[in-house]
Amino acid sequence: MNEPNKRISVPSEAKAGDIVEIKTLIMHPMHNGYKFTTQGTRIPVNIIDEFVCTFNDEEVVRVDLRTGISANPYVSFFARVDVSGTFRFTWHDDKGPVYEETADIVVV
Amino acid sequence: MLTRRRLIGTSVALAAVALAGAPVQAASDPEADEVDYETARQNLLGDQAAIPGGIAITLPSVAGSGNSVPLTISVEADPAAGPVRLHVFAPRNPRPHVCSVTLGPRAGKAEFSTKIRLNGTQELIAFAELPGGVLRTASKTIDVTIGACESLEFNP
Repeated sequence: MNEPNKRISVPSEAKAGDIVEIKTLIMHPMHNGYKFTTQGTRIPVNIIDEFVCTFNDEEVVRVDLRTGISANPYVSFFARVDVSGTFRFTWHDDKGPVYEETADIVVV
Repeated sequence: MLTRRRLIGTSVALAAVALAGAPVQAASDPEADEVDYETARQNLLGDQAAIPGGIAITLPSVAGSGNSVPLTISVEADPAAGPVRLHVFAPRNPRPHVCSVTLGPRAGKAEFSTKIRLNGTQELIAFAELPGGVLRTASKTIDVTIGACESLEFNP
């Protein structure tokens, strides 16, 4: 499968101790297993079941997503930054693939 | 229904979990999630009593479609004092457990937003596990015109 599109919103710079808002979205159908194709076959469950965000390898947020999350799962939260560093975002597909994205922030 | 195949599958999964020492609720299992709300809550939180309040749920009061409803949960707590865990339940969904969130000490605020699926008008329930072992709860009613699981049966 192709790498899905992802959208990340992280401020490029912040002051030490700032609380920044982070918004993330990944394109994924989040099949809940209740839909059928036009041929009448059930589409099996296929979701992103875990999302993790780390800042300089320290975990910020971990989300356990289920089928009750909308397609193209959107997750937004806040992080406190004291030093410059890298946010790493990881999405785990329940069929195995893991998608990653990073964003840098500079503390001025 | 408990079949031999499923029993073996479950035993293998449990053994794997025991070996890895991982939390039991780590991986999602759509079949195991398909239970009523009381069971889902019991599986996740046990018998622990929850104190109402301390959580603000931001959710529209009416949603035309249940496919994508914006939800924000904000808890009166500071994650810097210890991890805050949030659980969201939609009791009328076929799988009531919507998501669980762990906000670590690096999270600036005990606040989280996402978009959820809702199968009809219902009362959304949120729980927050706070560092001191306190469990808070709050709920909000939402009118949903068209649910997210409309095509449960094949209907061309």
